[in-house]
Amino acid sequence: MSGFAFGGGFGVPVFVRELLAQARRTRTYALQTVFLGLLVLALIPLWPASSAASGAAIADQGRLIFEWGGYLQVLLLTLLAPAVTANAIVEEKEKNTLDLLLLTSAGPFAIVWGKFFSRLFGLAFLLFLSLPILFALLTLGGIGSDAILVEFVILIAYSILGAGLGIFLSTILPGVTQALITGYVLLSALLAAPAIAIGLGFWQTRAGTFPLLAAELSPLYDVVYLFQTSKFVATESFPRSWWVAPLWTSVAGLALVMLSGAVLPLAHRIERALSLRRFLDAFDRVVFLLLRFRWRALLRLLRQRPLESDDAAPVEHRHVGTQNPIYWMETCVNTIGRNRYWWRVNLALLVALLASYLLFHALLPDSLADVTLHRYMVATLTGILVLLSTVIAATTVSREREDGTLVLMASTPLDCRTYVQGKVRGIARNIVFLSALPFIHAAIWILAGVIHPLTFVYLLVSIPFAVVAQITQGIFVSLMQPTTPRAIIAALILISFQAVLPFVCCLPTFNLPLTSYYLVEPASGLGSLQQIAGAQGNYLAVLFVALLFSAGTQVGYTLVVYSLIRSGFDRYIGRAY
Amino acid sequence: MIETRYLSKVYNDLVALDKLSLTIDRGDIYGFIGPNGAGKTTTIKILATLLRPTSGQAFVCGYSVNGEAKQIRRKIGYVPDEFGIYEDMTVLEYLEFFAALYELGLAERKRVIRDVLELTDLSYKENAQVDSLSRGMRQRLALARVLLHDPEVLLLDEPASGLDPRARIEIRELLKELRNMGKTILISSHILSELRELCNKVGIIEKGKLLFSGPIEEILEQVRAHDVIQVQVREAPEQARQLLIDHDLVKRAEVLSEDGWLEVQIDDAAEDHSFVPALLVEHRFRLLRVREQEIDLEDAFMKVTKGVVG
Repeated sequence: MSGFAFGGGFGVPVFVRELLAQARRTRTYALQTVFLGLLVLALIPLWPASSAASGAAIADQGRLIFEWGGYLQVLLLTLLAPAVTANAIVEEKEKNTLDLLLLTSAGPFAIVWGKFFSRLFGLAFLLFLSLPILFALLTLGGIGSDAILVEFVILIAYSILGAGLGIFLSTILPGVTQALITGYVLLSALLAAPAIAIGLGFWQTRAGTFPLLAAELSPLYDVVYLFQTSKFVATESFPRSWWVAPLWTSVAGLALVMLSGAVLPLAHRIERALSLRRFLDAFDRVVFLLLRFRWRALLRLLRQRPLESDDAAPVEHRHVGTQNPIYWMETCVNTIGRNRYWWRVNLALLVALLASYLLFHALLPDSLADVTLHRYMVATLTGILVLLSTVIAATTVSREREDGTLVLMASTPLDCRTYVQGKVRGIARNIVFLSALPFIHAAIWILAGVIHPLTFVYLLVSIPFAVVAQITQGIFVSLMQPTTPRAIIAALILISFQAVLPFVCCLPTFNLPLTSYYLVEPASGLGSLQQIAGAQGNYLAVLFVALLFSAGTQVGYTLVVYSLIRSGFDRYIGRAY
Repeated sequence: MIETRYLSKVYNDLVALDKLSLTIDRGDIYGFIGPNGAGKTTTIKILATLLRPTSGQAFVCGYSVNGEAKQIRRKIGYVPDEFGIYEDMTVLEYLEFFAALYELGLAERKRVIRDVLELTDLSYKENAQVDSLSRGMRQRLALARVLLHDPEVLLLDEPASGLDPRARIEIRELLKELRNMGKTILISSHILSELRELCNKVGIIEKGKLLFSGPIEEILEQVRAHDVIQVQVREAPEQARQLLIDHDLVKRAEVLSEDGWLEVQIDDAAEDHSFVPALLVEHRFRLLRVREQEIDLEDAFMKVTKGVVG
């Protein structure tokens, strides 16, 4: 097979080109800084605060820092490996440069090896950067340099698997998003496989112990094994140790690269065969008709067998009519078009919500009757809502700018009010399903007699205002930033800043997840509110004030952000005046 | 209809436009030509109210870009050099969306969309996805879009760029129809041969400076070299060349083709070129034709941007 010779076979030219490209990107250095920054920030709180502590206590602390540092690095690699590899081959396919590369004498294996080594180099470089921090732990005692090296080997092997998997998915899947999501799902499943197997009762172990196979299967458990060896129980007589996981992960990673090279010439054909486009398009059409209560059209579509008649399906014209054209675009084009996947995301979240009940029921049977769990769940659901509504809004304008459609709108008499109102209403409509999840959860557990009905009132008053505020601020960020990645990063920074606001500015009701946590009350009584109101106080009055303040801060914030948008709208959308 | 006075645009140290003054009258089709980075797009964007000039003034339909941008937006149709794509939008939806942005009423919208689709010959594609159209069709759709609100002025930035010959011809024919409809069009293009056929005026811009602005015939006349003529003899063109080159008032003589055409450049001292045919006839060459040097817009552009004229 061409290009399998060593040298060219290992893709030196591709490797050098990729490395140069990476070196020229600011994000490479930003990634290294963030990786180290997170590692240091996460470990600093664990560093022994007092020099007066005993040597043994300091050594224990050193061991703890090292252990948690290992877990953190496994998690960061899980996040980074798919992120840096997902575009490796997909990008070439999208730019139509893959065929050009395949026509050169390098051959498919050289291409994938070059891509693989350049990505692996980046990941390994991050691990090397963290070595000085880990070696500094030797001064605390509790661990030896051999432990550092063993952990390093586990992490490098895991990087090989992550990079190999990313390259393989990038070869066979059509888009970066698909490769990225599949990569995350597979790596997360690998890390969590022992926990799932134990939770579902496939592995019977004594409480607090794991089978040795867990360490051999999952790199995360292999790191656990390094520090808590006694918790692992050998179930077979064959002697095995920590090196099994690094061995199989690195071999599997390299095998996936080889497989990628073998299938690369067939990439386009495999991509088409694996495409779920027809199925998903049919699903979208059904959802679209359901949303518009078009029962007859829906029945007609179902009779036509949408999966089989996709190509021949007549195009349904979606009239703009008298509605706001921007709202029309967001709901008719962006929902089913550019952001078509959001409906599927919403559905997946609903399934995940219901599945989580089953998981909690299996793992912690009593927890579902405890209001604390529901506080966490409602806070998590509203947190996801806040995060996604801002991020979706943050991509909306910058994408139009990148697609070259914003300049077309800028040359029309479109005014700020129509634009922002259309966007806010449209995005809110698109995520209405997501917004409904906290209500669904609350309703289920109110009916089950676990949560107090007043919780529903609180959610009803606070969520719509908060969603509008988050969407408006997302639009503002998107108007300000030139590209989608920048807009997303700016939105995430803004949300992070807002998340800490309650602690520094005494604005708890501004933070939806935080207030949701406190105002989910047990069915037996309004504990938090009574605590705030005092023994003799009127808790309903407290609830009223809290709701008023919550809605008031969100409305006020929305108005402030809107006035900022209005003051610079023309400039933001590319008009001179 | 369009007027700029000492229009300048400076980006940091780069002077994109340098005191550009031009006038385009109602009904003019004005070809704006210049090399890449000359300032064409900058000028068009300023006129489309998408860019603020550093100094100077610009007027469209009597409205100043400084302060009357809203009025201008209703009077112009702007086609940028890149076609903005909405995924999953049909041709009809695309036009309906922009008609709504231009605040056209429902009944009017329907009629206008039908008209522009007919004009651009896209009626049969009304249900096609915009992102599935060929480049030529997309450009026709872009023209359909800017015609929705019946603008008086069309600002077209490289509308024929990247099109195949058939699509270019289609766009040219469409622009001719718009010219006949009385629209004032400012069009920037690299395809000079088509501008020659389409435009009645051109402006040549280089490094932000307007080197020439006026009727096409005027620039052709300016750049035409009056000291060069072409003659055609029936036989022995090489001997004829030798004869001419030996003459004191002939600076240069070249055989252009095997069918006897020669190009002759006369000396500045010569009063006119009448002595050339006389000389050839005197030496018994059978003279078939005499003509002035042929010049087209490309030659004019090359000469003007080289600083030969300006």
